[in-house]
Amino acid sequence: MTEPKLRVESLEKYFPINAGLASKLLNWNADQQYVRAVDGVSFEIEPSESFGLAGESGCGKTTAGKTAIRLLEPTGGDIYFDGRQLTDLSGSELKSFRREAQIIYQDPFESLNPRFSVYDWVAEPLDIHDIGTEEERTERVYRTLDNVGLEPPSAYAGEYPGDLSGGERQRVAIARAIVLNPSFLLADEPASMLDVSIRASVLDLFKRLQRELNLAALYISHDLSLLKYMCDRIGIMYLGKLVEVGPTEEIIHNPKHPYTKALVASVPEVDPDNRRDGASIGGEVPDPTFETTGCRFANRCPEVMPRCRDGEPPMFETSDDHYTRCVLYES
Amino acid sequence: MSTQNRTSTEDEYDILSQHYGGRSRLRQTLAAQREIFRGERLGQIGLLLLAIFLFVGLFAPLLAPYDAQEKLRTDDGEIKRMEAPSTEHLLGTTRLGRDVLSQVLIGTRIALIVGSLGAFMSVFIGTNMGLISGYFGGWTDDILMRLTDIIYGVPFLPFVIVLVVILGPSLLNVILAIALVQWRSTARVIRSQVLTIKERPYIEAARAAGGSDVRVLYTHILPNVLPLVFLYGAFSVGWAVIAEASVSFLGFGDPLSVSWGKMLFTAYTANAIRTAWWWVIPPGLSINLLVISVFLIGRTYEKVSNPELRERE
Repeated sequence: MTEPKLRVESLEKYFPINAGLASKLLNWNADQQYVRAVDGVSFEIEPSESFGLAGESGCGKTTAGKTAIRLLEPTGGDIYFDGRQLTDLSGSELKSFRREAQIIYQDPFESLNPRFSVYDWVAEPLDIHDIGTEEERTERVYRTLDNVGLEPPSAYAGEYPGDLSGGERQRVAIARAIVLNPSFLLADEPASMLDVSIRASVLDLFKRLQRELNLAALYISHDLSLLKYMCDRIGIMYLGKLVEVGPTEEIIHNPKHPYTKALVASVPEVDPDNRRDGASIGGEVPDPTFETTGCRFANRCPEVMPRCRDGEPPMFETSDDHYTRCVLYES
Repeated sequence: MSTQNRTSTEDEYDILSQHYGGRSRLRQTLAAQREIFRGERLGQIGLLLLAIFLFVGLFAPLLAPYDAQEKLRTDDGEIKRMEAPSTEHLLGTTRLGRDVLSQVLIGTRIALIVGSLGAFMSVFIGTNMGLISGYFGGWTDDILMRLTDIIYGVPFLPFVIVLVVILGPSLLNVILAIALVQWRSTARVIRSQVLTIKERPYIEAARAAGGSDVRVLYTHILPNVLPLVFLYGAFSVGWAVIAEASVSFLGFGDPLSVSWGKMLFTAYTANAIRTAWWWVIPPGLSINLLVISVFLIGRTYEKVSNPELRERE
């Protein structure tokens, strides 16, 4: 079996609350509190596979993604990239990893430096990693701009982000991400800020690039229909933990975890005859500083049982490659 | 057909690579400056005034009718003391028989040197302090900002007097004293701006591409705080000119050079402040005009960073 591109094991990312000097002095004897944004997440992504992370706002999916490529320092857990331990890389080793893993952001209006022209922005990674001569870089930047659909490249090279539309900016961001020929792409809500009319074309661009460049990708979104379109496998996150992982078809058509069921049921359908029931779960995501000994979802779960509060359930395999963190499926 | 097409694109690549290889940023910056001053009458007046001062400063020895330090005598050997303006001496003479106009013209040089060097040094220190402090945060931030607080507590004139006593009175020491005190406000403002900019996704994008801290600080954050740097630079020029004039007026300036502040000091010690208006008004007015010119320029730059000053379009 080949090594997975990215393997994450019980990854944790805690953010301290009240870490300032003043509050430390005022509450000198209080326990340090943490937001457990990512609290023991494990998954793997095979080479050229697309994996999706879904969940409500604030469930930690973006933090999990960024921690997995060490844009945030993990509090605990292990990360392996191409079988290499990533957690204690630093200096030049970390820099060469940065060549392999790239990120696309949600908001194309915030993710391009307004003081960089399109050319400078796309060429910068080549400059950082000292790749090619001046002419080779130019050639590569133009080829990449062409490849992401900014045609003709010469018309875009000198433009500044302020002159471009949202879709064009997102394409520039994609060009910057793929100019280094990476093998892994993290796409954080890659289409949620785009107009519906251009969303599909940007997503198709992702698909084509993944195929052409043999990219493994981690898509992060709250939008299950987007993930269904893009991903081979999907993981559902709730309060910093994966509650269900499985092939896309399985997750969408045969959800097991009560939370996944509710999430899938909430996706709008274009069919006026199909009456939808309201959301089957009430309440909101609890304060992420909360601590519980049992299942995190117990407070909102329609099928809650007394034993749910006894301990955090492990992942149960419900079918081939489909895992659910719910005691209903204990065999 | 297709091969021809390909070569023409490649040619285009070549041409464009020359175009977008760094020189374009300078051109863009210049165009941006023009854009800032367009339609700003006061800013344009400031630029014009500053241009006049620069011209005078550059060609002062040619423009000055007499040697500024020479004691002028009448034909019969008498020193021309305290002569009122005449065609021979357009702005009269001082108590020691020196030509006031020549002194004002030569004094422009000192004012410009102090203004530009003092402002450059203080903005240079302040910008770097602010960038490093805001970007790295934590202990670095604590130490640098406490240092800034301490400098905020330093009263300028006593500080200069002590420094001049220790290092000796020279123009460079006055400039040094100005820079060592004046960087504090730039540092504070730049730091607060860096705090907001460093959280933007494009800064994380720069780190995600493998950019080092130095690169992120100086190629990604610095260009975004540059309008503020210019603004504080312009204000620092005015402040430095005033500071040099005050120091010279108190008699702690360079004893060998002619500056506007020192002219006022000699007029004061000669008890001529109330009688020889031609000796007092020209240097005083020059100080005011130079400070006003950089203030107007600074104010125009402030438009960039302060939307409230921007005209509604």
